[in-house]
Amino acid sequence: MRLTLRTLARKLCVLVGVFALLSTLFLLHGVQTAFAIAPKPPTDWSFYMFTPNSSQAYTLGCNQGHFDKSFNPVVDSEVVLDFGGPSGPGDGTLNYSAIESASEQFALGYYVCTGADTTSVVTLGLGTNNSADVTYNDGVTWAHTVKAVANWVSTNAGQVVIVGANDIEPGWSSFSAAKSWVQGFIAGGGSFYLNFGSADGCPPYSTGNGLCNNGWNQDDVYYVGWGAAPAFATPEIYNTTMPLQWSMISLYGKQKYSSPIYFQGPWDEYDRDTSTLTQQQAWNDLWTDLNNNSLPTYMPYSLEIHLASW
Amino acid sequence: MNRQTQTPGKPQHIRPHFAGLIISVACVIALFFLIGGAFALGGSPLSLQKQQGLQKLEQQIAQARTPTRPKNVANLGVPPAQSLVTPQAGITQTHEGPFPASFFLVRSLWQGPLGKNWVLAYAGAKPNPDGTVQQGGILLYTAPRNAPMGSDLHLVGMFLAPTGATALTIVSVSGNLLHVRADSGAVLTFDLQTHQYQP
Repeated sequence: MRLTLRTLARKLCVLVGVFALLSTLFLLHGVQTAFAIAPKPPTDWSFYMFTPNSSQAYTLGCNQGHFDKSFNPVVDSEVVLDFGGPSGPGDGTLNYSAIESASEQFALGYYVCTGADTTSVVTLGLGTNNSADVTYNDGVTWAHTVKAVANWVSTNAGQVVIVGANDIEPGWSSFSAAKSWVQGFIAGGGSFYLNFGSADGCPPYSTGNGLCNNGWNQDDVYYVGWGAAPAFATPEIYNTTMPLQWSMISLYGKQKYSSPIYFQGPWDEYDRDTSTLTQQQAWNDLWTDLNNNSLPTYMPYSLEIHLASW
Repeated sequence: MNRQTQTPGKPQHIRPHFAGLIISVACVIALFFLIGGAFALGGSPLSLQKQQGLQKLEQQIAQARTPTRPKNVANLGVPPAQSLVTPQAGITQTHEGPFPASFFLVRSLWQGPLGKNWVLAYAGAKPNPDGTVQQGGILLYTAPRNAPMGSDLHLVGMFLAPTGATALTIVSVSGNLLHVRADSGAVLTFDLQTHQYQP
């Protein structure tokens, strides 16, 4: 009996020892990654395309295809074509037919130019914004546009996932108007949209549902960036304050809803304005600010806005 | 005997206690990881909904990666190259330019030829940090004349209206003169060549 106990104890000791060793290694691994910024993935080019042009879009898609297949192993990418805001009273009218055609040609260009590479996939966001008098119907129409392009792509191309996208900024509309757009997008059957907007005026160091610009608060920005079912975010990171603001919004979501934001990646504009953060700086700053607050640093992409047409 | 020799002076009855202690510690550690794991997984409805959303998006990407038919791009062909859109001169009521709203709030845009350049004049206002209008102004860009729309723009500068003028909207254009109206009702003229406001 005494011998059996000793044998059992010895076995347990070995078991616990192995467990402790593995635990220590696991913890050490965690500590190590906590201080090392994850490497930035290749930065993908998004475009202002206020005048949709199919031929140009095909070329841009082809360029992205060549880019993605140039890596070994090949990589995925995420791109937004920003077609501008929906029409309000007196505004220029979005040409939905031209937007669909340009988006389809971007997808086709990507598919053709990846050539023998059959595994790269681009997530293509059809972008608009919440400026002026954005409405519920605008959201419905945008969802229908996204679905029409997705249907076309499923028949005529491949290696492309079509989603919505919206440059949602507090300064451009009331929250209720932006929320109406989101609800319209959902009602129209939209599954995903990428919010490539800003958190202007939101607190960079607190999570008490503080005020942002134009009467918005952190809860509002959280809703359009993550809280709404189809919302995913690739936040504008142009200066050192913006990643702090987004980190606090993610932390707010973690504290209030137990759901921090899993960002798609930072969105920089260094190509348009060299006084702003570079691709690498935007990545480092967002990653570091998230990590400092024990927030998810899962970011599969890095995006940068360029100019295709005005 | 041998065992006693191997552990001189150490009472045998301590070993079971020691093993029990280790078992207890192991249990605490296991519980710690169990709770941590449960926390990490998240249990709120929103958290679960978003996790499902992320998985759905990743599934779509995986499906796009898996061709449902052979990829034969030769059949698709490359469409013939077409010239890019030639910009059209005129006034556009718009709220977005190729820059963030935190830099300049757009109310309207005029674009057209001027000398050897194609000029884009965004009328609106410089914003305060809180997004409110600070002062009306015009943001000027140029591109080479007859250049396609894909050409990059050159920032000429931001020309703020005289003090007191709120956000500007373009009313009309005559020659190189841009006629604008401030929200306050004031009407101003901006010379696109000299970059000066006239009352």
